[in-house]
Amino acid sequence: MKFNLPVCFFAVTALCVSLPIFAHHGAAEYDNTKTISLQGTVAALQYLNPHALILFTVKDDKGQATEWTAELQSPNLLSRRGWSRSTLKPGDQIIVTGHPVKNGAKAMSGQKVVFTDGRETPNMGLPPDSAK
Amino acid sequence: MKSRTKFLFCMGVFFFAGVLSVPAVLHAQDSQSRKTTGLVSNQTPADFSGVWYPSTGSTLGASTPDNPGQQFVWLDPEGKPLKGPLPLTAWGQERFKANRPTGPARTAIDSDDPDFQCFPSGVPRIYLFLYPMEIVHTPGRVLMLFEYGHTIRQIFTDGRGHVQDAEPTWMGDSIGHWEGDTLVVDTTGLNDKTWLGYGGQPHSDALHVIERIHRIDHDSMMIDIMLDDPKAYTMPLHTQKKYVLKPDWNLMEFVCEDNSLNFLEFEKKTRIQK
Repeated sequence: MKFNLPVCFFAVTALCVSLPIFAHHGAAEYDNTKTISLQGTVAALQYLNPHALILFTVKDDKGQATEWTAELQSPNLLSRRGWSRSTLKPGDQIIVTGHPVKNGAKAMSGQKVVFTDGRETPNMGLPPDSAK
Repeated sequence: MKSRTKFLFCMGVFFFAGVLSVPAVLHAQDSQSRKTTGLVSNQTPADFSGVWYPSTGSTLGASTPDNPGQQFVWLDPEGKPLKGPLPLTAWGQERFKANRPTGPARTAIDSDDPDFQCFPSGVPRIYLFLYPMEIVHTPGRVLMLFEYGHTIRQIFTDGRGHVQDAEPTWMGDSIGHWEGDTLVVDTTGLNDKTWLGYGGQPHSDALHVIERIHRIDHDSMMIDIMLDDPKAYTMPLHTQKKYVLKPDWNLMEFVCEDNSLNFLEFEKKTRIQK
């Protein structure tokens, strides 16, 4: 299954109205009115505070490679949902869904990450009962 | 008296003095231990020991044009959410305008938010961070250990007063006492470098915080927070923060300065202001 760059660009519904995943702050300002999904190859998962980063390479239809970065929650919050530093390994084929940054850079928030073979990564949200 | 006899006489005096002093020492130790054992965790009116996670529900406020950034839900004297801008004094207004929080046109790298410079978050802003906090009871003190930034608060419950004429600090000087099963915490001595919320809401070094901490039920706890800062606000501010017990959690390491080069590059790449 080959994806274009971007595969989909659509108005946000559920993701937008849910609690921001970067509930304290992210490094970037994201356009929460847009959600993109990109398929790429993991170069590295930087599992460090304050926020983990996925560095991944996206190829367009012509084979042109572009380096993208997706910002995730902090490793502490991710670990409590089942993530670890080895959840993503270099070479893994993934699809990252999230909001693009406002300034047009090749960067996005990572709200959901799945493998192209259908496997899913753990939920990246806040603890499920935290809104009680 | 020969010198040897003198020596033995003196030794005898010291010995008896020592024997006589033993009960006094024991008595002092006894009164000390009675003082401390009366304050151990299981003998305080309530026991908040455990790891708590801040609720993201009704006690977490959303950004509004008048009052931007994630923050507390400020309440009026009747307990209803305050609408419109915060009741700032002229001094407070000036500080509020001068602060440069993150927002639609400014990312963390261009903000002067003390949090992004890894300074302690202060009281009460430390409660806004969505990281757990552990409460530990020790004799004469209740400790709050915050995962975020590894910040600690010591709340002295041994009856002492505030430190007099102390240099203001990031987390202030906290003393506590019990009113029934509620722990009442009185904090002064805060510096004016921290904010009340992500939107740059200021406070001064005259800030006086009174927190009332009580359990709602076994799994939840409410911290009722009253702020009095006549230099920055024209009226006292009131808010509440709810916490949920996480019996299976442990605090983890979170070092604010633990920042990778790639993260810095990411911040630069995604900045909006030039």
